[in-house]
Amino acid sequence: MELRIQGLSRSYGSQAALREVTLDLTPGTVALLGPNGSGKTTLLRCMASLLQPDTGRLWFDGLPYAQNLPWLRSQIGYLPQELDFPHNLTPRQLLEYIGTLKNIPEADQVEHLLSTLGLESVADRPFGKLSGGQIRLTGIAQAFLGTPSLLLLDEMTHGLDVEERERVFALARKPSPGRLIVFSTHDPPDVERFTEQAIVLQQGRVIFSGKTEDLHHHIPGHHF
Amino acid sequence: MLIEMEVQFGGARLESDEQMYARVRAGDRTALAGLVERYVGPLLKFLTRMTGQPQMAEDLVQETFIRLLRYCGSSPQCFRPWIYQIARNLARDTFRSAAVRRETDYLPDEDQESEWMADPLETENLALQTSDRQQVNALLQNLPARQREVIVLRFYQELSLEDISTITGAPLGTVKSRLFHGLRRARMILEQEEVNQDERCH
Amino acid sequence: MKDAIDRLTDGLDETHRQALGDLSALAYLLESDVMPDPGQEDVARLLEALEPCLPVHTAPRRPRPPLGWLRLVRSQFVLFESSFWLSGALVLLLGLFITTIDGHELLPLAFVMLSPLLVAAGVAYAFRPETRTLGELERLTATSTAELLYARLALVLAFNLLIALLLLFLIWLEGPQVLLWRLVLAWLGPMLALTGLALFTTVRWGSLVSSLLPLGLWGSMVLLGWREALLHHIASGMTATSWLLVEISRSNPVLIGSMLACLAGIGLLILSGRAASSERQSWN
Repeated sequence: MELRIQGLSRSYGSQAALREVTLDLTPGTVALLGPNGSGKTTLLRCMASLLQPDTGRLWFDGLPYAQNLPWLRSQIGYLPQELDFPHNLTPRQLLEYIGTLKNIPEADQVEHLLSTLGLESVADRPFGKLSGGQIRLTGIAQAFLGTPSLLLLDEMTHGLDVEERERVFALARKPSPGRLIVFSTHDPPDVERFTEQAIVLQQGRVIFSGKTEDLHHHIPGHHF
Repeated sequence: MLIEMEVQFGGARLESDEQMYARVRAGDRTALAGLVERYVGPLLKFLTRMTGQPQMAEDLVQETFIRLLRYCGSSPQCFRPWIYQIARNLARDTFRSAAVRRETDYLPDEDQESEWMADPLETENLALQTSDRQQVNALLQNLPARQREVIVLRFYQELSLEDISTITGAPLGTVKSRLFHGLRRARMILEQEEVNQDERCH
Repeated sequence: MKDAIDRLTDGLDETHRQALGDLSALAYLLESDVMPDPGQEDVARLLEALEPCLPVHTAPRRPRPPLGWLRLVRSQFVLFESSFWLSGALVLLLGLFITTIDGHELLPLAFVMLSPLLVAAGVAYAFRPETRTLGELERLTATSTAELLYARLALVLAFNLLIALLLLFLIWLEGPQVLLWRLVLAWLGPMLALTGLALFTTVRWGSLVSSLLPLGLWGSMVLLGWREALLHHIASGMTATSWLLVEISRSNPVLIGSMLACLAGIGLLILSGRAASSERQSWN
């Protein structure tokens, strides 16, 4: 599943968040890097069709976003940057709820995701009583529900300890032909271990897109 | 993984026109880009040679693709002659409108297939053309449209006479007849031009 | 050159080829006309012009089966906190309490005047400003906004219908002053109208408007009705409650108004689903 972006721009009032972003992404895993305020979340939200760009266009698998939203949205798994779930809900309830909306017939997938991400012990505890890392893991689990073709994960490993990170990488590395994962992160080890390709944003523009191994040559010493 | 544009390897097509058109009908923009890349050049050249007007030809090419996208019937079994048929009919309809009626006889009398000599006035136009393209254009425009289209589709688009029969809606025998008479007429125009040139030189 | 001549005459039989004579000059001239291909910019411009004409991708959408609807409605339970169910139980208790005071007249009146508001309040609660996160995740699923809307509404309506039926049972036990079917209609009309209004305003303007508008509208009508009752009860010698009940049981305008309110409510419910669907088509 290819994702093509052409001339994407988006502003919040007078503040430009994205400027003329053009990308062609093919199945695999792509890391989205950049300092705070570089436009990573805005770009992911545009890709998720939750934010309409001011100018520019997007196509998913050759289909223009604007004309195919209902179908497109059923192909996307999204992890928001801010996770503010209802405090009375539990992870299991949330996954079952989203699973129903995604028309997933079997509950096995929910249980499988809970166990893969190590959430079995807290599956029935309300979000109000969970740690930030556990809430983020639940967010990741719901994104993977239904094996979407396009996974957009904002701050995928934020607040996760080492073991939790390993679980997430193990889940993301499972083969899934045709799937494209785009995730944003501030951690260089995530990029080096997990992806072959990277995109770097700065002040809303793409300053690098290509292989991870070339990243340091093009942008030496850059800290994300 | 990150690609700048689609590439066709060594000119070989990875997907048939029919498969690509099926994807276009499903809303696939990539497939549309592929079809456009394949046919915009050939169609533009065909329509330019038919109309003699590059700007009009560009408009007709766009309209051809729009017709393709809006088509509601069942997909054609053979895409290539079909797209040329659409383009050709559009050109014909455009010329039928009063606004672009020209002196050139667009609807020739098929029965008058006797020996024909080009009018000297017509070949003078040929002589005035400076470039090869202009000469060819002038020559083609001196042919009745039904003969012109057969020659263009055969020589430049390299379509078979059977395909040309499908495109023009004329029986195969009629297509052969038009080709024969068109070539003969074109040859005579050229010979007359050579004679005229010799006369001018002396 | 031979290739060019062959291209010209391919398909003609030998007799005709010979009759055409030497075509080399013609073939040479025609071959000299080499038209350039259109540039990449021209192609890109053409593509841009064609894109709006691309058919919309219509992936086959299977209609949700009845069991699927049941599953969807059941899934909405998790979004209703226990306070919602308790408030319904409190209303029932209130009904029982009113029965002890005056089950004959006061209960039917309270039923007609107050219970439509309950449903509107239920709708406003069901579509309260949820956490932004959950709302966004709901959009990125195969379930349309309209389906979600109706599933959640079905839950609210079912719960309120249950309470209403229990209250009607109490009224029936008390031996009402008014025919039950007229009472039900006088309740159903405003209930549907207020529900439709609450849902429509939620979809268009958010749940704050949806909670205030029906409350304000119905509250005004109740106050006006009560004012009329107070004005008339002295003249007629009846209590205000009795006068109102008589009006509900006999007044044809009230009957017709209730029927029209039913239709208006159903219309607003349908419009809400369409408005929600069109919201989904757009980006935001």
